Amino acid sequence: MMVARIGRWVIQRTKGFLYACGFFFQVVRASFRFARHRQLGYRVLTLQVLFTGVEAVGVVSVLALALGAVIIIQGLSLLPQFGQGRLVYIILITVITRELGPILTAFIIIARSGTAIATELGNMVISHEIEAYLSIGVDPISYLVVPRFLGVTLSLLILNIYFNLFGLAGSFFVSALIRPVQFVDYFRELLVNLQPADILSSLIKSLAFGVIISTVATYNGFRVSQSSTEIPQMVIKAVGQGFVLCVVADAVITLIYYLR
Amino acid sequence: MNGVGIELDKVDVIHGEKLVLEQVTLTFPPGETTVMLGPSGSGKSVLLKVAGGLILPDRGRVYLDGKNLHAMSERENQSFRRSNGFVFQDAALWANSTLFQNMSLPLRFHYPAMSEEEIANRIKRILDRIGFKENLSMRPADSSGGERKIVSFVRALVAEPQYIFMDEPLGEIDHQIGEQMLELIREQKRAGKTIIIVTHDPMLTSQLADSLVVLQNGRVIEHGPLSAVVRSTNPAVEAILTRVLSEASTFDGSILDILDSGAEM
Repeated sequence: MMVARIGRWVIQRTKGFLYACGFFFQVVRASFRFARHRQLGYRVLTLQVLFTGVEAVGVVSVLALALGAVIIIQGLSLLPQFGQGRLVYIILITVITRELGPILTAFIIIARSGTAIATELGNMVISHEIEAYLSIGVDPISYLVVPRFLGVTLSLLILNIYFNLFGLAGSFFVSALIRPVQFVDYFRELLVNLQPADILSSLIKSLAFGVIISTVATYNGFRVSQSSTEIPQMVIKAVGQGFVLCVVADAVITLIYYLR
Repeated sequence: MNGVGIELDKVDVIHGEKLVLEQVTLTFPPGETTVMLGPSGSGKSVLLKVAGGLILPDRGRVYLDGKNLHAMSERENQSFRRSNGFVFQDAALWANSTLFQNMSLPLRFHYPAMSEEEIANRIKRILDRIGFKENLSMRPADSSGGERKIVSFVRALVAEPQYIFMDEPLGEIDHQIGEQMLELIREQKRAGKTIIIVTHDPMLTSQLADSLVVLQNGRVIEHGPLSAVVRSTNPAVEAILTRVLSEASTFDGSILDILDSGAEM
């Protein structure tokens, strides 16, 4: 009895995983065709970039400024005591560019856009809007998923760059109010310590997180089938899976960075 | 018209543990109007969506002119979609678009070269026939159920489809506008379109149906020309016809008499 139950669970999970892989494959294939074919989805793409990217600028700015300032102030207070004052720049780059920049931006996007996308698509399923698109031949993957997939990925990439600029440069001005550092020294040391591999690692992470968040959110939105009570359940799944997959991807990319 | 129309071969649809459609084998010949009747929950709307290719059956096949509807190439699928229109029971309008955008999307999608003026004219022509004069820049949420149904009806007809699927097309519609919409459906029928309708309306049935499909618990219990089905001696069929049609009827006469008068037209 127990073995049968475990077997059913494994089969269901495997089916679910393969279905998700098939969904992802369809999204990637449709994304490559997005620019080549006449598309109605450009408006959806623009709105997605507006919502995910532009409207998140405020919260990303505050977070980046605060984080950068905290690192500078803590670093300049503690590290000189050990004769390692210049390590603050390496810590800044490691924390902001390579690690927390991409992952914190991803968490913000999961909370704002991942939930919104899963809810919106779930509602569209319930109100038969998806069937209405199908009835006139509009492919929901091309029209609804791909613009969100591209919009979220593009927005995350740009927000991460913005987070880095604000975290590294903007925080200088915040910390100057408390612990002034020479402007020239600060930026020269930053540029000396900032390696192309750091930038590449950061960009790859934000691209991977964008792909994960948009795929998980759209997939779970479409998993709503009949009742509006399924929507919050699927939104919770989208958030949970998004967080877990982003952290796992973050760890894998960081490992690759150190193993290269 | 050429072809054999839409064929369903031993179709099963399962929702969770429930068998919603069971071993449904039907043909909807080209140019014919078929009305599907049955008590609530008998699977009519699901059957309509299966015939329209919106629901993939769990077992069995759906054919369009002999070709498997779910194994068509993208080009064939687009050609089919260009030639069909669907009126949903709950209208299923796109909530983030205006009423005008809802009606115009089939034309914009299938005929990208069509001018804005031509799109607006086509929509206006149908709306004028119906007598609908509401503000088209409203969102569906700001409209009544009847208005949404009219927009769904126009959206289905605006691209001049060959196959028309309608789920309670006159539901929530007032009598005067309903008459105009009925006349538009009659025109489609006269033009040789293939029409499949789910309804409880005896007048709609008697005036439009070439054939009737009677469903009960997901199974087709009677299918044939209107005249034959209304004279069926099967007590289950007679009971369903009387019960289902009387739900929406305001007529004093016998429901079967009304249908019979349609059969003799």
